Amino acid sequence: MPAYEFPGGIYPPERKTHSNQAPLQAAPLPALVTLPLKQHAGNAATPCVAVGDDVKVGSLIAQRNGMISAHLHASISGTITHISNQAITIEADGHDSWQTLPPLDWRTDSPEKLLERLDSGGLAGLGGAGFPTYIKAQVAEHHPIDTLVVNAAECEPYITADDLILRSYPNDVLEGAQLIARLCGAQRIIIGIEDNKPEAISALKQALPQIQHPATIVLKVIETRYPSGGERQLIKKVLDRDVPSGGLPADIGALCHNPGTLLAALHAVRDGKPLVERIVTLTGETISAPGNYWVRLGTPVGTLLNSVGLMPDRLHQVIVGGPMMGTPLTTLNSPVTKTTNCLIAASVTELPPAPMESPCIRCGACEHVCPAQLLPQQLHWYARAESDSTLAKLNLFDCIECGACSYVCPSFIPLVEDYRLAKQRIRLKQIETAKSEHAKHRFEFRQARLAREEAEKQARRQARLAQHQKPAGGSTGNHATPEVDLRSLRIAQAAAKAAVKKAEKVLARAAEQDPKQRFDDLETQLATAQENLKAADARLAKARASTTQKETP
Amino acid sequence: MGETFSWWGILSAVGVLTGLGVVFGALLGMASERFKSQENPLVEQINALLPQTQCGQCGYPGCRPYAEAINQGDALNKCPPGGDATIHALADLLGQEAAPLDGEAATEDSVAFIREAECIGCTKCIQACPVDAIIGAAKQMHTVIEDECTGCDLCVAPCPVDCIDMLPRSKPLTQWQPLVSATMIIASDRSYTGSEHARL
Amino acid sequence: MSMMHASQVGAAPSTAHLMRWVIAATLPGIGAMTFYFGLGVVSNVLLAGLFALVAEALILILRQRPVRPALGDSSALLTGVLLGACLPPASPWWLIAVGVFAAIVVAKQLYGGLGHNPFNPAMVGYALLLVSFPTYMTLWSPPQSFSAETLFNETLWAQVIGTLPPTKLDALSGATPLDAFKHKGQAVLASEFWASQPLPEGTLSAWRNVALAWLAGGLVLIIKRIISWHIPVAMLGSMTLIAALFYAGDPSHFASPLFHLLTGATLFGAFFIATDPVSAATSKRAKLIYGAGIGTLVIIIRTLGGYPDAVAFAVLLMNLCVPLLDIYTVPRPNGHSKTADKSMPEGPL
Repeated sequence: MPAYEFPGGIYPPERKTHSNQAPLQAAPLPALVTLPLKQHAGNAATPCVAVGDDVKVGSLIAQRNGMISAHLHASISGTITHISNQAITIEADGHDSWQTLPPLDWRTDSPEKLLERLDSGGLAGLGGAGFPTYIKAQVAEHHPIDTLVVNAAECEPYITADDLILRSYPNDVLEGAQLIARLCGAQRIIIGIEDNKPEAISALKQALPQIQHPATIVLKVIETRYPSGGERQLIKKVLDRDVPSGGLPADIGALCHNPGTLLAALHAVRDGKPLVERIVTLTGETISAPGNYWVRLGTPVGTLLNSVGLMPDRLHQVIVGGPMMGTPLTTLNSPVTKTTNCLIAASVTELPPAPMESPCIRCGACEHVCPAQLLPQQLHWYARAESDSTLAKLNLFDCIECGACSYVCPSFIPLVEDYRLAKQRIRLKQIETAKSEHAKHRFEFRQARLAREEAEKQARRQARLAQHQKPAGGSTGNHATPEVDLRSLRIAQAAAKAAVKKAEKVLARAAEQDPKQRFDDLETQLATAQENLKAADARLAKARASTTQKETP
Repeated sequence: MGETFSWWGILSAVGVLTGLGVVFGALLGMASERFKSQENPLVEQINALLPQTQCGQCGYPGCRPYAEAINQGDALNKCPPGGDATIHALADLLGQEAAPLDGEAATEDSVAFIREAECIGCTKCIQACPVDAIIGAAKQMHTVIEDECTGCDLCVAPCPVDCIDMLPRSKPLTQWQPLVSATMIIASDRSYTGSEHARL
Repeated sequence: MSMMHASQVGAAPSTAHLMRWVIAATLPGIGAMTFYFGLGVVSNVLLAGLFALVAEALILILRQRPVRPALGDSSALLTGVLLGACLPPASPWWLIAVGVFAAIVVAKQLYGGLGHNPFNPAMVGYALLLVSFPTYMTLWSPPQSFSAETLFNETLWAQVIGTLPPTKLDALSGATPLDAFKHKGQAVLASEFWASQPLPEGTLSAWRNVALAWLAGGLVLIIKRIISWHIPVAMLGSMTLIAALFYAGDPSHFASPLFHLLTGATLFGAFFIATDPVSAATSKRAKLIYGAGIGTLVIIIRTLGGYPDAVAFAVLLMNLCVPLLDIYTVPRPNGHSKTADKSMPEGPL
């Protein structure tokens, strides 16, 4: 298969030999873990244990909340000591006793059973975004999937977690890929891997012939260029398909998974082990034993780094993730989560702080490296000017925040930071607008309801009056032009009827397009139109009553 | 000068100008009849910029009436929940000068809370709520639907037993936003503070 | 938030390094000019550079902006050096001061400083001087071979006093090849003109060698990836093409493409002026159009306009078009379909 190209890209120093020389080891068990309730994309999980409860490794401690969420399990055996809105803390008892689920066989067991296991295992994408795996496996319900792409590119400098996973467990990863391929119906699995991981490639080549059923697995070695591990970039590179803007790989029949996730999925199914530990790259010049380690989730970063020989006096900053897209930690008490793939304990010479930002000289270097073909420099101007409509026109939301533009900027402008800020600002604005729109509809509905109630009251009064005055005869005749009145009221009633029909149509069309969604605002609008119609009916009835009252004096 | 002067020149100029005036006047008149808009879209645009809390602090019963009043020439700066952002947006739309807010700015997004033990079930707050965000019935305890409440505090005054509090609304973590320095007029006005990355 | 920066890992220069590289690359050109026109060239460059730094510092103080980082990026120095390099040797000090003032204060800082100027500052200064002081701006002495006498002539003293040198005025007003060809007169055929030895011995070859020296500096910049090849190639290409069209149409009246390429400020402009990133277009396509526009304008003004050389005017005119070029050459982002993408900007943003 030929290799395709994505635009842009950079060649930063790899610095992977720091951590890929040592074999995979297990980090010492922590004495205390802090497990955040939101380690995945979507809603935070809801705790289902109480302070003082004893738990084992793998005990469920928080349940998923809604569709896009994930269960959370205890990662050490011990006692729950604290539960807050954000996290659950467990103190270890030192036994490390496990509570596993019954093993399943991914080849023979039913897909429902396997999906249920991915859900109950608390699996989320281990690559970085942390999307719940069981949802991703169900995507075939809406989109036909033909190819599962295993994203082993690992293009960020420093990180070697996937490299070591593939070297240590090539068969398990391939089996995990077959498991997911079976669930999503993909007939083909493509492993995209950068050519800077020869050991992993040869391990995969050895394992490949044995595991070619049910899906066929192809290994595809690609050129080392950042950010080839971006989902869109990798799919472009190995499949030559463009993921549509604002869309998902599933829209073009592809699904992308990280080797770590596949390994965890297989462990959850085959061994019944929920997601309680992961492989983390511990690297940087201030660590004496850099390498890849099995780390229990919730382990405090400080404890973990100390156990691999952190030299605190040389430490400048600790970065979670890679140097391109990662974030510096403000406190070493932060825990390792499901999405922590790398911790870099960097010295000041290794990753020096960026010098003072100088003005943009429009050199266009950012534009040449942008893998999404955006105009980073224009985005920079407009993001700082808070010109949100222009940002939308320049497709700000297509930015994958890979950091290539910040990397090459000769003026050290933190471009990605600007974009993140602007994106968040626009998102908040959209939430505000939606909220005020919602309030407006509720207000209009209330106005309509009050008007309807008033009109009905009047109509009833008029009807009563008519009955009372019928025998008496002779009206006071305060309605000067009842015919004209009636006519305009009839027109109003017809208009109200049309409005109801229109609102019904809009709601039906929206519901057809997305049956799962709820359309509160459209429903409120329909109710408002119905109230208006009722009010018009009542007014018409009242006017009719008064005219008949006049005509029969 | 005398030689070039002619009545014909003057008359023809006047004639041409008058003719042009008549033709374009007729065109404009026809266009204004033909493309007449049913309702004033400006009111809708103004209304879209207002925060729709329906609080009535502007002196009008709701946001739309205030939008109509602005269209009639009322001041832009009477909307405390919208604050400076709304005033600037309105000033941009209408091409007017932005004036400082008339009255006290709403400090933060708040939500009404009924101390349910003290509620006597009088329904007065229910009648006051512009968005039907309070549920309850006569002689039954009332409560606020937090998601629907706009924080307008119109329910606070009618309560005979003062059991309604305005509490700050809790924001989910996902809506977190870093603090940014005050807006700069031009990009080069940005202060040279360097990066503010957290250091250990 | 990238924690790694190309210039910190030695993969690319920072803004200040970019500026210093460009300054370094002017050395061959300035050296060649000094060889032929004396130390007046060096004193021009030094004086202009000094004035530029002073002007930048003063205006930054007035604008209440930090002075040190702005001076540290060497952009003002570069503007001064470029302006100084295009003035006639040993220009009066006040002439240089006026030009630098227009470049730094008016063209650069009044628009917001580095990165915000729509026009190339050095060319604004040059164009202002050319229009305001035409006599002083055409005082190109005939090039002489290198000797102690040509190095230290009394014109240097005139630069300090700020007047025209009292003697040798005739010798000084020697024309450049472009000047001479411009004023050859309609009736004179090109072949006759060249046969008549219109210029002192060695003038043509001197200007050619200076141009080649600028080319050498420019090639260094391209090899070091300080500038991209798009603008120089497009500019020189379009100049060759348009000049060839004229020349093919009437070789007896129009100069050959080679003459256009090797005289005047062509190569200096192509590599050092048109490539100023701040005032040039950014995307590759826009850069090609921008360069081609400059080349076309240069030939048109040289052959049909009133000025013998036109690089400054052509660059300034194309600077005007940059916002338009940038808007209409927005690339199609990934994941947007090729046909009828509504989200793409159409027309002014």
